[in-house]
Amino acid sequence: MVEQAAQQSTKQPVARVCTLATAPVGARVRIRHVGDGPLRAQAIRLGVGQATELVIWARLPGGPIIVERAGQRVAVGRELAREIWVEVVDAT
Amino acid sequence: MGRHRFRHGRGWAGKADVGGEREARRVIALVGNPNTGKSVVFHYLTGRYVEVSNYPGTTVEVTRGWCGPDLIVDTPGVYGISDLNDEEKVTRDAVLRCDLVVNVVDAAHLERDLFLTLQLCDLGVPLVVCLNMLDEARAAGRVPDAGVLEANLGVPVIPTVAVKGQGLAELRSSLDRAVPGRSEEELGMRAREVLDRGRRDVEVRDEPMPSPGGRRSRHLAVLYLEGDRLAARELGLPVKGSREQVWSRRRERADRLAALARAGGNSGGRRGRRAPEWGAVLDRLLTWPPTAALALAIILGLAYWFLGVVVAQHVVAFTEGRIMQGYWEPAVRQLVARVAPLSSIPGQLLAGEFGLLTMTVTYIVGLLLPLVVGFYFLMAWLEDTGYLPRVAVLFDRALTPLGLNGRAVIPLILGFGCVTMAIVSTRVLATGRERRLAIVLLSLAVPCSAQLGVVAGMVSPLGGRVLLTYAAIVFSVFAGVGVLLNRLLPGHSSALLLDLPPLRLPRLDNLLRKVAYRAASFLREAGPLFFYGAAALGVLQVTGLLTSVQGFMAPVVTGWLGLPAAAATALVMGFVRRDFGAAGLFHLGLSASQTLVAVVTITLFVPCVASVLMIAKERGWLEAAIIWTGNVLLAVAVGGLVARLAPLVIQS
Repeated sequence: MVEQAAQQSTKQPVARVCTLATAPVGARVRIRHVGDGPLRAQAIRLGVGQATELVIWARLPGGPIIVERAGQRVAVGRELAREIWVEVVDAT
Repeated sequence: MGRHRFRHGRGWAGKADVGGEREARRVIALVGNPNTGKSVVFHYLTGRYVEVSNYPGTTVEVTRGWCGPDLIVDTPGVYGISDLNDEEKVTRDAVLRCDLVVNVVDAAHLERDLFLTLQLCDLGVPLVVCLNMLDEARAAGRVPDAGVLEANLGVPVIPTVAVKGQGLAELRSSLDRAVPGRSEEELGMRAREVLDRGRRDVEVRDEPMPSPGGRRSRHLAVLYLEGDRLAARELGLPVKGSREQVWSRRRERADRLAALARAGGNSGGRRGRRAPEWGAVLDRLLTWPPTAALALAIILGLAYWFLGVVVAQHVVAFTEGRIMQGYWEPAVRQLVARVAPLSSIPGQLLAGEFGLLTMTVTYIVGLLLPLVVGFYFLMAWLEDTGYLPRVAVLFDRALTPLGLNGRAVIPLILGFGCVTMAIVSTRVLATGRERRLAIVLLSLAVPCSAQLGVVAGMVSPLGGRVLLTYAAIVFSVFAGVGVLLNRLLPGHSSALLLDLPPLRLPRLDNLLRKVAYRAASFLREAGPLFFYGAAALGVLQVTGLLTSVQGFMAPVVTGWLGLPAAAATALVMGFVRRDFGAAGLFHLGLSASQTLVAVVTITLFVPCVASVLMIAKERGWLEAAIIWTGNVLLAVAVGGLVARLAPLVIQS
């Protein structure tokens, strides 16, 4: 999984818009849309809501994505991450 | 609407009873996000200790204590107030009932925490903000300006470093200055509309409004606009409101205010130098799978050595063998014999084989207490370092097929200490479905420490191969039942959304206080259950019912499981004390494959009386009965299969 992700970020041009689940680690992203789910409201409250900017801090193979925002790290389960659409602001 | 009346005495969710029904001058709720030092503030104000954890969602109860004439109510750490989970409902009720709120805010994580602060302002409760953990904020170069916050929120903001006692005296004296904060204008306007409309409707229906015009109805109106079901019901309105809109706007306001406050805080002097981010480096190591696995293996190894060797063998040998069986039990028998002969029925019940004063007390004090204290110490250490949320993140993927998310790792780990306590801790799970799944797995396939000790004692002489087979069988049942139940149970489980607290070095005084507090509450919660169980078993024995139960089970035990008839006793005993069951098997002269059958069956067999009663308490009697029956059937079925297949693996 990690290799796959690494390949994606080197070979293909980085997609401007993708889900949180596929955004490259280390990238700064802006959230475009959070899918309708039971956790949507809670995600908004924790600062993982529309129009907020965050950094993809780590991604566990098949598992949660850890994002960082204002010094705060939040783990987002893969299932939820797939429903969060982001725009890559800075890919480094 | 008398039920809205505020009661200071019983009726709170809290267990700790403080000074009976004394009338409080004011009731003050301490409210804050998890890990903001709320409990330290509570300790300072009341002199009472409450749990402090570095793991979100460990307390679901309120604790109360007196601060002079005022009653202080400590609430579970929450990110906001709503009806989304039990913690927030408990906190919401405390906020609705109190006279003023002290909102403890982590200065280093202002963005996160200000959401709740702004919500409290919108609700219109009299408020004081305790701007805590300024030392950590300073170290991270993120010092906010209290003045900027005060001006924008419209309430007193008191800077503190609670663990060092700094600013807490000022906080106490500022309580009199608590005022409702500045609310978002639009929300306030709409809340007034809701109330006016409500009042008109009420006049038509000729019913009294809940405390008309009072502050409480204002709180309810705002919560109603945020889509809170309970508020809607109390106002007698259909559930409406746009939670997400209100929350999005509030989130934006919180971010803006945090940025503003920090700009003010850092402009005065030079920008604080960022401390080396050892926390971030460590965090990388703990969440990058290869190093994370290594760290987990080391920690588990140390935990096994500490619990399995130091506590379970050396400490228990002393407390159970030396103190309880050496001194306590003979003394009790002597004492009871003076009142009634030991062979009489009361004598049997009090000091016989399952005597309430002998076996039960020895078990709780001699065996369980050391194990539980040791285990709680370990858990407290893991919690306070902030390591557990990382474990939850690591195991999230593995638990998905079982319909659980990473959070469930906490109750499952706790189960290896004491299943009864682990069942209580499933309260941290988000949905009823997840709690049900976790409880089934705990009661079925997670052996508690007492049981593990005996299983290890029986199996280890037979060599690693048998031990591995045992572990593989129990694990397969765990995974198989989990996957199957996840398919069968209706509904969906929630995905992981977990705030990772900073990694910290635990403070020893805090650890010890926490262990003492938890051990005491363990005795309070589980102690009586063990007594009931022992009493029931004593009655069974005295009335001779126990022998008929054994006779009834004999065909299954000998025919299907291929064990000696006497093993039936062990299974029944295992219901009272899981390790007890196994202890009865020691002297039966079992072959290697019979031993494997026996340990697998007693592991899967119904959990002890205390945990069954706890399941009934948490999930109701029907569900407890279903789980109980399912466990017995599955244990016997798997045991029989093992009896047929074991000879293929083990040459005995």
